[in-house]
Amino acid sequence: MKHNRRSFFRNPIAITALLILVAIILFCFIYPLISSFEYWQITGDRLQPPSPEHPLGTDKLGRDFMTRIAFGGRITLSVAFFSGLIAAVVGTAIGILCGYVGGSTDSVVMRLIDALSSVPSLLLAIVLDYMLGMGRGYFLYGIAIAGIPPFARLVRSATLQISGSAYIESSRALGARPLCVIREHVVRNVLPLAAIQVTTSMADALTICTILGYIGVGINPPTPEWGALFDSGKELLRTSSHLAIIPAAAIILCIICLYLLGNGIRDSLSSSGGDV
Amino acid sequence: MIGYFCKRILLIIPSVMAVILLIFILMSFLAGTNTARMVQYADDPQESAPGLSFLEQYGKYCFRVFVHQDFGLNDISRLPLSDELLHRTGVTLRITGISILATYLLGVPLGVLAACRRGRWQDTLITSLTTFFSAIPSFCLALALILFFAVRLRWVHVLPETPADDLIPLSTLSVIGAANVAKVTRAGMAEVLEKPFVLSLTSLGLSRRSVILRHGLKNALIPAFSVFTTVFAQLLCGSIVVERFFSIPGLGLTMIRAISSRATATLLGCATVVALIMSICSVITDLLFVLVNPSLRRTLSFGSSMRFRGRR
Repeated sequence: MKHNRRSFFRNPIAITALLILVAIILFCFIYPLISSFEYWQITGDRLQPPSPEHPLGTDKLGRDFMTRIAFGGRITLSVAFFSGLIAAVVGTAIGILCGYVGGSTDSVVMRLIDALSSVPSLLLAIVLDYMLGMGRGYFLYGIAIAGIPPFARLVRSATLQISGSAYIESSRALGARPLCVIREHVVRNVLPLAAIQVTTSMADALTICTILGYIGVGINPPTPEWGALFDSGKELLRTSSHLAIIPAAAIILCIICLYLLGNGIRDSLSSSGGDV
Repeated sequence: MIGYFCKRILLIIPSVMAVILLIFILMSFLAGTNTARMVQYADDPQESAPGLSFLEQYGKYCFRVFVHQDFGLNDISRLPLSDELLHRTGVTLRITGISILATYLLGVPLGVLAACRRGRWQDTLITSLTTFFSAIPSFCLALALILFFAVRLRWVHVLPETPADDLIPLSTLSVIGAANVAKVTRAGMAEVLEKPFVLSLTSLGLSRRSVILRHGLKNALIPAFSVFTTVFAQLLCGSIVVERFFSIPGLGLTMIRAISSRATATLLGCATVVALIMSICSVITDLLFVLVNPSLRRTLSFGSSMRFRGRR
């Protein structure tokens, strides 16, 4: 593991991506605290160009845009992070269960996973959000459920491979209980794979979250969110195009960084061989 | 084989009915929905008439949809939904139909090129572009295209007015679809090129071009067409975003409006139409499969009841 970590930190692209992501997250969580405006506070001057008082100007209602971007980032990034994490934990658990137990449990659960992945994730998130009540953040679970299938498939095939190996058989022969085998051997081998997938799944969650915000079913209007900010900025494309470009650029930057980070993790794991 | 496809087409009806049942069940859990009258019809009796039970409503809805093509009344305007849905579906199908053609015309050559130049700069370029375009939300791409072609160059209008203005929404959808098709085609072609028959054909003296285009492509098209349904579903989802971005009055825009105004019957109608389109799409996938894979044709004409899905 130590070797993996070293080769990850020697990868300049992955480190840059990680630093940019950390910088964006820090900005989103700290800026609203030090800003002299609230995200809902109307300062009176509409559509101001950038100035020392308002670093990114004001929006069409006269709210400080920098604060709104930062606060929107808090919501978008937390939704992406937590739904990616929930999908990872649940998907990994399902994958290990199916791969280790096998039999009819495996085939029934995997058919359900197949059915789940045949519904486009955007529609699934919209429907769940509509059912559970809009504007209360429940779409997070919709996005998380949509993210489960790739984890379950990946972890299941890895578990199948591992549980067929000789040392699992011998530890079973020595009398280890199934839970012990899973904890000691399966989980340790499967986790690196899930770590690669988790960045992809967070990037997907970020995309769906902003699309939901954009079509107006994610979060209720006064609360900013990158997709919703983009939507309100899009109407003023000719006069103040930065109101749409900045949220879009932030979304794209985060997605690219997540992908590069995932690539970095994968390279550092595969270069050392061993674990995977 | 014709019998097989007749069966597949008839199977559309139960699968759409299953989707309607699922939505009915979900809707009945939804707080604030009048479960006794989820859908109202033009020839309904007066308000005082007793509501129908859940199963009666479901049966009536399915009967009306499949026999009379009647989706009930729009919850807000009180006009028949069928006419509205027909018009909106036409708009959406035109967009998605043209873009799925463009998707394959663009995606397959790019995927083949990337597989043949594996490890070289063409491959790196195409692979990173496809990853990029399939990851970003479609409205970001639409924004970039609009800023460049409509605001900077002023070649087209921001909101579609003339047929030429449709090029921007169409290319937004096509690029995103093509990214996915290219990914799958690249993987399929790379796998085919490693097969022994490629080596033996090359050693027989066939040119690389003829090996790839005449023999390799046929095999690489199978994975590319197997994702037809998936890509089409993605384009339908993308068209929700694109229709909202460009204010195109299609199915997606109707759905968004129905969600924000809690219009149950409209949403149900849209979902039924989408389910119908997706079922037809999976039949088309099977047809395409048979076209590109002769061995399946033989299996089917021997009357096997084998059911194969259009998924990888």
